[in-house]
This record gives sequence, C-alpha cells and structure tokens, in this order.
Amino acid sequence: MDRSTDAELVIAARQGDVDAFSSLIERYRTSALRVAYGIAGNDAEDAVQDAFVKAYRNLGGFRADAAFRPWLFTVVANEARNRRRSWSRRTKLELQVREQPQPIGLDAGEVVVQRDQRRHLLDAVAQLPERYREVVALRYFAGLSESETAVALSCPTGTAKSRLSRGLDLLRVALGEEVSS
Amino acid sequence: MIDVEAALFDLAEHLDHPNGTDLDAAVRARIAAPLPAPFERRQRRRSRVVVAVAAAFVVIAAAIATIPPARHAVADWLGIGAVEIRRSSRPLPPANGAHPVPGARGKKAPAPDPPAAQDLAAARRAVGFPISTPSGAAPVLGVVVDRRVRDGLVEMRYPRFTLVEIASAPGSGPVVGKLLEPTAHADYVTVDSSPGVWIIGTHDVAYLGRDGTMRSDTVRRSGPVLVWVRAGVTYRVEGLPRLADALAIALSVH
Repeated sequence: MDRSTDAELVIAARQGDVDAFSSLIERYRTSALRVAYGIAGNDAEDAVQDAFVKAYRNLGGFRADAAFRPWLFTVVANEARNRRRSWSRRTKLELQVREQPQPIGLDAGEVVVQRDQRRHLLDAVAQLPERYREVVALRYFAGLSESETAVALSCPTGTAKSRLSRGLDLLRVALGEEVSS
Repeated sequence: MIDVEAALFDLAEHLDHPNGTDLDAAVRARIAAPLPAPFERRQRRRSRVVVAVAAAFVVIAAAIATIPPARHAVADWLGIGAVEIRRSSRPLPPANGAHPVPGARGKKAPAPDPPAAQDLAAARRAVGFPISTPSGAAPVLGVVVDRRVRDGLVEMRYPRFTLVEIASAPGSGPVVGKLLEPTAHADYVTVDSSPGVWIIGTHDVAYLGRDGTMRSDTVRRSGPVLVWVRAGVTYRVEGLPRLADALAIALSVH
C-alpha cells in the first residue's frame, strides 16, 4: 500500500504519474462507491469512474493547499447526482444490504435481526429527499468529517450540520414507523 | 432509542454496492486516451485573421456539437448538466466583441436582431421557462431577453451583479459551452444540492442557437462566474469576486 500523502500523490499525478493517481483511486475507491451508491444506486460504478476521470483531468485546477478528499467527493457526489437526476422521477431508488456469512459468536436469529435492521435503515435512507441522502452518504458512508462534508457540498459547515441533523431526525421517524408497524 | 449514527456507520460496511473491480484499469484507459477535437489542430487550419474572429466560436461549437451523449463523460473536461466546459491548451485568440449575447458588455456594433430590453413581466411572457429572481436583492436595473438562443435566455442586471438564466432541458445535450484560458480555474460547487461550477479566469462563452448551432459570445469574461443547473434551467451569476457572495445570491434565487 502506498504510504504517500494525498498531496504527494496529487503532485506526482499532476506531473503525469498515472501510478500515483491509481494509488488515489485505490485509497478512495470503496468510500467513493459507497457515496455514489447511496445517491445513485446501481449507477454508482459508472458515476465513480466518470468522477475519477474528471478529477484527473481537473487536477491542474486543484489548489495544492486544499484537501484532496473532500474535493474528490464533491466530484463524486456531482456525478452520482447527475446520473440520479437523469432517471425518471418515478424510478424508486433501491439499495441492498450485502448477504454475509454468519459471523462467529452470533446465532442465526441474531444475524437475521441485524440484517433486517440494516435493511430497514437502508430503505429509510433511500427514501430520504436528495439533499439529506447526500449529506448522510458523505458523512456516514464515506466517513467524511462534518467540515469535510461541508466542503464536499460547497456549503457552510453550519448548513451541513443542520442538514445532517434533519436527515437523522427523518431516519429516526422512519425507523420508529418501522418498529410500530 | 436507536443510535442512528452508529447504525449508519455499521450499514456502510454492509452495503451491497458495486465493487469497482476494474475501476483502476477503466480510468487509466480513459485518461490515457487523447481528448477529441484538439484545439491546436483545428486552429492551425485557419489564418490568423480568421482565428482572431472566429476561433472561439468554432472551437467551442465543434467541441460541443460533435460529442454524442454516450461519449459525453469521456470527452468533457468538466461539465454539469447542460454546461460543457473545456480548457484551451493555449491562450485564447483575441475577441472582437461584435456579437455579444446578454450578460456581455460589448462596445462594438450591435449584432443583427439585437436582444430586446424589457421589463420582468414581459420577459416572463417571452421565454419558455419560469424566470427566478434573487430574493432580498435591490430592484433589477434592466432585463434583456435574447430570442436568438434556443428556448430563451434572459439577463437581469442588478447593482452588484448580473444574473443570466438559460433554458436547458435535461437530456437535450449541452446548451452552454465555455472555453477556458490555460490559466483559468474551475471548481465543482453545489448550490443547494444542485451541481455548479465556479470559474475564475478568462473564458469564452457560447450558447445553442435556435438553428441548432452554437452561438459564440465574442465578448470575453474575465471575472469570476458561478454557473449552476437546476430543474432544466442554467443560471449564471457574474460580477461578484468572492464565491461566498456568489453562493449567497445563488441560494436566494427562486
């Protein structure tokens, strides 16, 4: 695994070192796919591919003193958003929880409960209005900090925080409905 | 009470998202491919005089009009929705300002069929999309509709800035093109969840005309410009030097 910093890799990639950019892809591939999946569902892979290509072509305009990660996720979120918006408005966003082998130490009943809880939560995320789903995907699926999330959304930190808070409230309500139904 | 934040972090580890197995190879193949319509070759075909008058239009029109939708992602350098943005590898040729479209400040002779100045109510009747205005701004100083641009373009001049709105129906392809100087900067931004780009530096602008060709605005922009796309309309704010100020205006446009 490449131990270079993002800034070092960006500088190298700007000078034409494609391997350095590959290291950045490897570093952020999983979290980029998670964010794009949370926003655009099964178009995630295409969105992320487009995002990395655009990011590479735009490295010349990237400020060297800025953080690469939130900048990259701005591009990822934009690509995912554009793909999602090209769908029919009636197309429901469907997201899935991965089926996994039963972990050691948990009985089958506990595994089923955990899986169902994740499905309920994911359904609730999929039903969120876009502005809240985006902020939830960036903060929790990609693991960005609140300030990084704000940078990725090009909004003040306070705005990102309030959207996160509202998004979490909506999820709690949705989960409560699930429990009571 | 459920700890939703902890549950979301846990959920991230269990999403059944694509694994991007070939992502690195696919990206490497695409970034190794040359961009279509190289600016230098097209420009060399024309004399210096012709280049000075027409290159910005030709380059932008060719670069945009020849990109089929399926190759859009490969071909564009940076784009949002109906806005196609490319960077020139050499300084842009001089602009003569002969055919400005709204939003420009041309001093040369007016273009044929010049855009008509009118009030906001008349502009709303004249274009095929709902015109939005910034809330809390000073009264609009002037409104101009340009019918040469397909589906309509309206410019609203305010004391501190100019707001331009252009119909850009989703799926109809690029209706706005921008060609940047090599030194210009362009960054992705988000305007209340809508995709946008903040451009700093000299750039040319072109719009898709009623006849289906890109119409170049030969008056060059040099100040920062915020462009964003929302609900089938492309918005442009210019005249504000700081992104925060431009975003504040953009967020108030409804």
